[in-house]
Amino acid sequence: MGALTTRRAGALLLSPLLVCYAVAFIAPIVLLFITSFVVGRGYYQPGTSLTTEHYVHVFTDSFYQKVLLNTLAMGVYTTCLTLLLGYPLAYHHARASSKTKGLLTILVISPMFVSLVVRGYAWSIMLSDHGVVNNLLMWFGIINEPVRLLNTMKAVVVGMVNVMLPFMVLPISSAVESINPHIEESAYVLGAGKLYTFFKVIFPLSLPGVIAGTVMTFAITMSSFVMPALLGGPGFQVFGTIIYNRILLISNWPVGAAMAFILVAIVVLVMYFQERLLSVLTKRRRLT
Amino acid sequence: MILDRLYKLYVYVMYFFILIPLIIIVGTSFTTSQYVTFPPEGFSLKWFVRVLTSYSWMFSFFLSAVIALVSMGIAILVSLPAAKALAKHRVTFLGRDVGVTLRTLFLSPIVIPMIVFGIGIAITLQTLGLYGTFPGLVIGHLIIVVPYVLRSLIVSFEGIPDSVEEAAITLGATPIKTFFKVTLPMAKSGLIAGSLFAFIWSFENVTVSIFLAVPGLTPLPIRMWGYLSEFADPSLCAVATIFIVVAFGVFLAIYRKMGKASMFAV
Repeated sequence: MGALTTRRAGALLLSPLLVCYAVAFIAPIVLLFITSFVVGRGYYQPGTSLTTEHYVHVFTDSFYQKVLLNTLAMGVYTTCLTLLLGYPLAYHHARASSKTKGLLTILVISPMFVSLVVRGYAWSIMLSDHGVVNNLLMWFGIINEPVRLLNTMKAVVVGMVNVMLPFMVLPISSAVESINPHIEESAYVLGAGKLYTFFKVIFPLSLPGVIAGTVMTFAITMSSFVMPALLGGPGFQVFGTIIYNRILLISNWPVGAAMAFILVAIVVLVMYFQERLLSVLTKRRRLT
Repeated sequence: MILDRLYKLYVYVMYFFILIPLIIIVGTSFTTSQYVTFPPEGFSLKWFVRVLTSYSWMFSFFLSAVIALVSMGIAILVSLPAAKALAKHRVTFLGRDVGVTLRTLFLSPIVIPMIVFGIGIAITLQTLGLYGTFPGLVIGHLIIVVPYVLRSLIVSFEGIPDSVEEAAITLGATPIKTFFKVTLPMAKSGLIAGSLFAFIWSFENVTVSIFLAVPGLTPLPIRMWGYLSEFADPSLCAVATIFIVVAFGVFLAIYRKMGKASMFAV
């Protein structure tokens, strides 16, 4: 076989997938992008005139600014908590014997296979005024009367942390797994304490996994709308819920589209910094 | 040591925290009361009976299953040749190697917010006149499932040494025969795992479906979403429990086929 035929074969083999992506990936993104500039409230149709007013509106209107801040707060709280809670779990998962690891992996990822609606509903049952959480807190005597958990940012963050834990635990676990256990042992042999070894040896070496998990968590949380809608209540507004509202309830397509693209821009920006951070880290490691 | 004990306790608590929503839902679905409480009151199967005899719940259930199966099938058909090309061929465009670029493009729906596709595909389908139809829902679900099928196929194909295929060709097999008799059987477990994943992601999807569903063509998660805002009685928990059982069945099938390593191979 000559080089030319293999090259042709490559193009031929890729063409069905390329067609699929043209219809289901590229066309939607292009149409959505144009729609975010359309005058009025409809989606893009040939012949409609274009404007940037929707972006200006979203960036200057105080309502949308508040929504953006709320979304960022939800993303940051969720990501930090997931990292703090998930890291020890990931370490345990990485260092488990291969037999128990199978079972633990099932435990960690099994909720991912159940629809978000179901998990959100479960949390709304648990966090309601007379739900399990309030009852337990009263039983332990921590509080005397039910505290309002549902329809607050707290409830949303708890639900989101629950959803995002697998996305944080698995990349960190595989990063920790790839650290040779002998490195850890030599640190102990040389007299380093457990905490010292952790902060000076293990954590720095697992940073690629930490960054991957953090970025994934932040990106998914920023664009989520099922958990915020089910646990945050009608007063809790983030980008996801507002986009849902603008498109499906009051069918104002351009504003929804503009907000969706702002989300994409934030995610792309964060991923760009991840890429830069990773390359700086690997370069530094090569130097030392 | 006390620190080790505390750490162990913490780990158990966290695993419990991960699983608790599922425990709550399954537990509540057997309640006898008319409203949702936990712990549940009494034990009955009446909510299951109600759900399993409800036409609209069963319709949504089967609709979701069929959408998942069809989009999974199409995803396999288009991903098999593409994965082969990306894993084994040099793909060039205008003389430049574009293999890595294409791979990034094809896998990017995993990181781009799904809500973007949801709205974008709704507009595309309206433009094509396919909005609110079964093919429209399948097109929407393709973008959810293809990246996962493609990714696990590329990983499987890359794990097959070139020498095996070369041997088959040297012995006189045509490239097509080599693919079906040698390459594909060796990539079988990756194919099965990727497909089952695709099925599950399609079956549980909310974010894309919610922008494509219309009355009369409502996938299961969207029907649950709508039901939640109106009734929220324990029948929702019964549906969710059936959902969990199906999802777990598929999941265990993947797990027995694969083990952890290849499930999350990137």
